[in-house]
Amino acid sequence: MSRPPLLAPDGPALLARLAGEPGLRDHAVTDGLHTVSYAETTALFAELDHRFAKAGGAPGHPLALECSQSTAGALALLWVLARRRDVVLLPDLGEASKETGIPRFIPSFCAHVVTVAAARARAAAAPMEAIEIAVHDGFVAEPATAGFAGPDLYLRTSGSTGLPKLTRMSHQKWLNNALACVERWGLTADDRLSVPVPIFHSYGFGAAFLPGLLAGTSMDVGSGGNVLRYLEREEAFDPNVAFLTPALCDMFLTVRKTLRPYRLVVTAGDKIKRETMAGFEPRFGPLLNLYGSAEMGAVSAASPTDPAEQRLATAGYPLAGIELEVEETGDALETAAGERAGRLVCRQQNGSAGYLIHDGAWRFEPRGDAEWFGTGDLAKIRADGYVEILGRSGLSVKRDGLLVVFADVEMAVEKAPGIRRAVVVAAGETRRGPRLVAVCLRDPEAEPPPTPDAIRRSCFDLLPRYAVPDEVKIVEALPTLPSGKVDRRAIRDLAAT
Amino acid sequence: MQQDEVLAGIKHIVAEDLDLNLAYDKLDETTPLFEGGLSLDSVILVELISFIEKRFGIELRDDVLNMETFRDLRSVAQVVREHMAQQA
Repeated sequence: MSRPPLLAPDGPALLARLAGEPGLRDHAVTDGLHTVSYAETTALFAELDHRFAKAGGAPGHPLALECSQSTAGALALLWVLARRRDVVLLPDLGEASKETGIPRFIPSFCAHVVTVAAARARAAAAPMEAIEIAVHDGFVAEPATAGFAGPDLYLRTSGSTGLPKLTRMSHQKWLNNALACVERWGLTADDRLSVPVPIFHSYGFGAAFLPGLLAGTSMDVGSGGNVLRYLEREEAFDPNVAFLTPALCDMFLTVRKTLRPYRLVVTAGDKIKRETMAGFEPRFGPLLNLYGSAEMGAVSAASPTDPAEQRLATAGYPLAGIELEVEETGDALETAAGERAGRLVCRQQNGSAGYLIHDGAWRFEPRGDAEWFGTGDLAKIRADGYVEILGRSGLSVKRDGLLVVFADVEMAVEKAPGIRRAVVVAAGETRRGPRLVAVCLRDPEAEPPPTPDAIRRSCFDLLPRYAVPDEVKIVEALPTLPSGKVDRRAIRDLAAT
Repeated sequence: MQQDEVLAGIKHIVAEDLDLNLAYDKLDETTPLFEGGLSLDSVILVELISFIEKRFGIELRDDVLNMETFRDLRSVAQVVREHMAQQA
């Protein structure tokens, strides 16, 4: 059923082709403020090489790239690919860090830090001014990152608690995986790609930025998730292909009054609402679901040639070289004839090589290409091979494209005065994703008695906005199972009323 | 509708209808809606647009959906007044 994986050119060959080939070399990456054509990259890479050498530091170790959604960020990423450097790809937290208190994270095994701060990229006269290369002060050579064929790209996996954890996957595998996306969507050099999704996360990097390079397209990385900025950039850049989040698709539907057909629009990151899918196509063009992860890259995607019925209801079918299966679960999942449902597992040659985990020291936990990878999602596989993603199988959901672990939310809610225990469940849908309801057991002695409003307000100081429960319910008793554990199914029913 | 009523209506939306945990009297018409101000995210922004359209009975045209319009509450009020005059 699955076809063999595709083989893409390596980074240096790809960048040489883009810089040299007529018809491609004038294509460019832009953010509206700065534009760099592929032809210009050759000279800019040489200057970055020079800066890198001048910075000093130990050669042959990974570098950390703190990237931002900008032409400068894209340029730094292109240089890393062209020079086959091991890289830990991270978001630049400069401004966000002050607001959210998320500390800057540079793994100790990185010998250099390349920073493309968003604020600096906006203020710079030229993109090169926004790229800073420095030696990493806290550098410690780690055996855990040595001895790989590489070059590798490390991504921090989502998750709001736990130990720092990075997936490791070679540049080549990312490129091979991206080539399967080019094939599925029929991307050509004449397409103009709008990429508001971060090029330093798996979706934007693996399914938008790299496929764009492999096809030789021009790309706009200037808008980010802000729908107003998106509309401004759309007007200026005139894209015919867009990579959106379900939230952005939803915003298109809510705020836009006129038709603006795209050749195709890809969406990923969350399960999209059926109403959004159905309302979107007549106004903005074919909407294609993509399913993937930091560990597996792009896994399954719809194609513009699929019948609308398949497109609207599924995440397409597996990309070249990818096998998908489902494993039985205890949940009673409804299936039609020929359908299989359960926990989705994935096997392919172009997946991650394993995890780097920090628990005191960095250690590498390898993953074999022949192993089945548990995606953590529930899915249905139809008789014709189309895949329908049903949602997370564990105690977590995606909201605003980010993982929300129920345990973290429960901990925050339980800090409110007068609450003994909180259980968070998903019930219904909101624009951010599944609707979060915190069902709270109150302390009968508490004076004054806690109110849902006060509890919810206290969450704003403890949790990022996307993790604040949409509703708080206070109960006198939590339903339990015979084992004494809380009965989440009963609580879900309670939350839905 | 008086100039101040439009602004007051928008302030009511921000304070009461939007899920921001902000008090009416804390709102200033010159506070930026994005960076360096209320830091509205896109989800809230879309809700703001929907509430404005409902409350004032207008449809904001695509060509005013830009950062200039949504700079602060005063600039939003200005665009709402223009739409009310045209779409009345």
